[in-house]
Amino acid sequence: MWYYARMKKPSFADMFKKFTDVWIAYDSNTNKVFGIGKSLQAAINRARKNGLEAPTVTKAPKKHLPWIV
Amino acid sequence: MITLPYRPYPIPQSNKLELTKSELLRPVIELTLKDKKNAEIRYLALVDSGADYCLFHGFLGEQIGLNVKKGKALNFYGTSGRSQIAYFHEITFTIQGKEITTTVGFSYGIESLSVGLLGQNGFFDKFTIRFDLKNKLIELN
Repeated sequence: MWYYARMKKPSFADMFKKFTDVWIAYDSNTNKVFGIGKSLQAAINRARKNGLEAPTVTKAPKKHLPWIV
Repeated sequence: MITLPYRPYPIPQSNKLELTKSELLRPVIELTLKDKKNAEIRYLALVDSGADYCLFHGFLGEQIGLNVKKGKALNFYGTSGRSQIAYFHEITFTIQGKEITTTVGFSYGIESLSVGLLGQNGFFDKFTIRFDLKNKLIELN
């Protein structure tokens, strides 16, 4: 996958900093990202295709901090 | 008792308040749900004493097989100040293997939030919750 190949094992934090308004599917044990997508379904499908059966999903917010007050 | 860690979130460079830290800790916990094909999805949610209800992303509801808009609708005002709609359904999820069945609102209006919210009704009414930021732990009893 383009982002995966280009970033070489990006972490959740890397992805969170780099992207906004996308869904991220990652392995919460290692914090490695296995899929991103404009839709939740796309992110999950990509993560499963990349071998992560039970991805943790989260949305990279448009506004990082404070994102809720 | 369930003990969970606080989760670190990266601080963007635009945040000038935190000059010495690279991350902030939030009481965000991981839930496990089953999708339409009975496969596991893990979802992050903020334990938010200021939220009246539990609110999850609408698209997550679709992913776990709900017909989201068939739920009981509630208008609410979020941080944006705009009226939004949540559709409430009873669902089951697990936290560290403990099964919890509760009522959760699914909304397409919270897309700017990165995680769901676990609020007073549906979560705080099921547990005694202790926030221990000093030791980076959240305890659910």
